[in-house]
Amino acid sequence: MDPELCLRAKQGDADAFASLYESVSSRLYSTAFYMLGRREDAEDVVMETVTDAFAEISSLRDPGAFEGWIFRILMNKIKRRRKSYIGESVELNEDISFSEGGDRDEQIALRNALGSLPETDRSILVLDILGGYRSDEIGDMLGMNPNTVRSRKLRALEKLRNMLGGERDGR
Amino acid sequence: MADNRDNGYEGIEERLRSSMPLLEVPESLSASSVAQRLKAGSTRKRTPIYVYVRAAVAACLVFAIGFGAVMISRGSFSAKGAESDGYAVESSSEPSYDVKENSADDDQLSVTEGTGSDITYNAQSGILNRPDSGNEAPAELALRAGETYSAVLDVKFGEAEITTDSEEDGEAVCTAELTEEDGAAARIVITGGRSGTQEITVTENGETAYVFLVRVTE
Repeated sequence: MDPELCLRAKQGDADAFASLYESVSSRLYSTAFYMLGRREDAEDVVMETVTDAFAEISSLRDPGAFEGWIFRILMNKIKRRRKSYIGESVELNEDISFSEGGDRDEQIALRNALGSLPETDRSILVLDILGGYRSDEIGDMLGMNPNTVRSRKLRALEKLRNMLGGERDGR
Repeated sequence: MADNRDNGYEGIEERLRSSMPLLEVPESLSASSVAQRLKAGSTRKRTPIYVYVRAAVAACLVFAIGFGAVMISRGSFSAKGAESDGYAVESSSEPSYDVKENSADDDQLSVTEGTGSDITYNAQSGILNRPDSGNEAPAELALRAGETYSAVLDVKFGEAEITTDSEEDGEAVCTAELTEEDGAAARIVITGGRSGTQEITVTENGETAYVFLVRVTE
């Protein structure tokens, strides 16, 4: 993260903040979508995250921590938004793009299986697989011990494998 | 980057990866749109309703802490304020305890040692999740060998089970058991054994309800 951009953003420079945001925007939006399953809600929580982050960036001491910091804000927004879903069923099959050349049915099954996981397990997998974050980084974002992140990730993967017919890897 | 360890799940991870492509950001969230909105101040925050709700909850907790002080004088502690939010915490230890919202996560309440202290993970301290929040972050407990932590959980005794992560040979880091409370609720009792860390998961009908990360020091 560019310290100069961060400094300017902390001084209220919206363009500098937007540049910082641009480097993580796709991962923020994708994470929100795969956690919430609704395009509009994903847009809302990302916009709320951006607003809060811009308002609070003066409190960010380490420019290098920007990415983890803004993801932490996002994950709290997502958690709050998901509370309003109680009693509702949300599937991740909205008209979003599927991977080219992939088996669409398989991708739908995987997304549904992911959507049925407890929120924390899904957060860990989305941040790990989509964001490429390490256990300690995810632990920081979710307020969890890295060892717990690792053990829950493995359990979540086991659950997914069982849900998808118990197929072993390397099929 | 993600942990690159041979965990035996590479196949399922790869399938997940291919089913979750990075999405293109919609125009409304593009950097230029965001910059314009921020400059125009159209995203200025209003005080959301939950701020007022949290203030009300905090006021309730102040009352609860006062009540808790009475309990402490009897050598035990019961977070009655927390119970009204769906759960209760008890400890057999003597020091005074404080119950407050966890500053890092407003879905959790922290039980901390010492009134007004910001210490979260201290002896006989822990975080229990608000059961109706769907939040399954682990409750982290620090125990000394021989010390016991106990809490009433929002799970049914007959439908709850305890599982632990792999243990090393020899004496367990801690022992955990569920006992039945009035109303068929379950109480977990965790007792420190030897130094180390162990994870304890409480499931209800096979679904994870609580995860405790227990650190034991001798």
